[in-house]
Amino acid sequence: MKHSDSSLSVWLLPVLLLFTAALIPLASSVGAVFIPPGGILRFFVSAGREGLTAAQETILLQIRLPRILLAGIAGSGLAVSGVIFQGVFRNPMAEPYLLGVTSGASLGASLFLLLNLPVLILPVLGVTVAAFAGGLLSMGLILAVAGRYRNNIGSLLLAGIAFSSIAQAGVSFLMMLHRDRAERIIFWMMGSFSSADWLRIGVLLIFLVPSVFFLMLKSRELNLLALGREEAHSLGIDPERESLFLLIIACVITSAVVASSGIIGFVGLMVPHMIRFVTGPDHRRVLILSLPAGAALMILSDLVARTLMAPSEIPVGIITALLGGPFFLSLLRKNARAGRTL
Amino acid sequence: MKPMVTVENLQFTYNGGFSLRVDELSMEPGTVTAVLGPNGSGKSTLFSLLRGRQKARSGRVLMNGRDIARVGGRERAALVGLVPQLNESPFGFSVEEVIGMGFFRKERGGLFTDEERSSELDGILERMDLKVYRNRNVNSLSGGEYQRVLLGRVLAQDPGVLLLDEPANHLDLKHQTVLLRLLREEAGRGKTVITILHDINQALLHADRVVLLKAGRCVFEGPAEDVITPPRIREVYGTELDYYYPGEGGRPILGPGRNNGPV
Repeated sequence: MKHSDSSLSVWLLPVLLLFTAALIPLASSVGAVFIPPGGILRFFVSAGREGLTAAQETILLQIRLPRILLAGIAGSGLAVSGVIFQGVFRNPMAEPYLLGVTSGASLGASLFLLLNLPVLILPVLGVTVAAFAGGLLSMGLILAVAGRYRNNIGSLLLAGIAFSSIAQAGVSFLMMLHRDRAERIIFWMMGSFSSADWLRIGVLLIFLVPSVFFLMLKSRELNLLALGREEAHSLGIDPERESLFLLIIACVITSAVVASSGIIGFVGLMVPHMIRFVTGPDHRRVLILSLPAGAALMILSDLVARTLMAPSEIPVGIITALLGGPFFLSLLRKNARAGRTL
Repeated sequence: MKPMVTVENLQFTYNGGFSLRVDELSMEPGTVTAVLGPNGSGKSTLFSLLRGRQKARSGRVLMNGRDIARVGGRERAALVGLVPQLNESPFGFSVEEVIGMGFFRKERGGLFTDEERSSELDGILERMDLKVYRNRNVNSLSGGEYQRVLLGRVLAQDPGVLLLDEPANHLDLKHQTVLLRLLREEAGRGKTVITILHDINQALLHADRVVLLKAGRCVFEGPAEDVITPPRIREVYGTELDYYYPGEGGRPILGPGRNNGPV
């Protein structure tokens, strides 16, 4: 093998894919009713759909599988968004939640729900578009700040926190005005896959598949941007245009995830770091590997969220925050040691 | 010979008030041009106009007949490349990855096979004396090593015009020699080399032509030995220098005078 780390990623992709694929039947078997994973496998492999009772089949197809797939897709989406935000802003601490993009998206989604618009299209689709508008708004504010304080890791995050607070205050205010629907909105504030169904998965995929496909074509551009805009320009791209494209795509992905499952933080921070730690920072590897890694992390987090205090559920956002908070602090310490100003 | 780089009535103004004006300038393929001037004289601004990063208020920079501010990214990267000053990346790319990013325009342009890429990369690592560092994180390199990586990257990019922003800054004596030879070699291969230098003697000994900037104006331009003279240096830098003669028939170099009054 010519380069040590690329040989590593050659086996890392199939390993991660296999691991994530194996998680699906395993996580599907756990819940109020135990379904043997062997039976689940047989159900999918056999031609006659054998291996499960009718009741088990209903639980699997109507409840568990949609939930696990939604968690996996959302995890992949948040992880690649994190890769984009970190690369474009050249900021290893950036991610959709900390930048306030998820909060902006949740404000958009809540507004849509409360406006009670006569729904001409799929309501899930409408919520997603509204979330995108909200996400885009906070992105615009972040860009305005980023333009003013170039390359300052700290001010970008502080601006994100400020926007988050404003957006969350807006959501709380909406809740106060519409107490009857507060529960629906609390869902967005805390993040959960409990209302997963096939329709939500479908809508999420409509937004994610083309976005992710586009991102995969842009991994080289992202590498150049991660070097810095001046260097990216001299190596052959228009850095402002490429950054804007990539950020809008990341915003689409984040907003679609928020619309389907609410605010879930830190996955976009943790996954890219873990992948880079193993394979190095080349985005041709990091982007693709983040997909299965994000899916696996989210499926596991959701598994914990729904089993730890069964029969009641913990919002999955709490689990990822419990993992991500300490992770963030350790990164902060590492940056301080490396002498980077924050 | 037809010039590769032509500057026509270039004017540029920052919001802050600093302005750069260069009426006329041209560089031919096969030559090394040094850009000299005190801090704040407009060297970096001139560079960012030469590589099409900033749009001039009026006038233009032509490279091979094309207005550099108006060409697309990949064509621009084929016309002009930059060796920037050191700039740490928050992501620890490896030496091989950073040099490999120079191949971007060829990779995106197609017609660049994996075999070509890997043989060109090996050649560059060899030439820049970086073979043993191939998989090292660039942030763990010394300034001089990193500088060689950036030189290697512009070789990978292989543009017609090489712009170098104080490339000798972090290099030790041996690698300064390697750098200056490399610039000459690249010029010999038909490249147009333009470099910002701090050391006027390096410019005197190794550049064909010198552009002397002061307060945003090109005050002198011409063959190195005509431009770098004590009176002109006094006029631009405001300091006295004397000629020193290293030996019979050698080119004179300049150094601070021993007791010539005000600094």
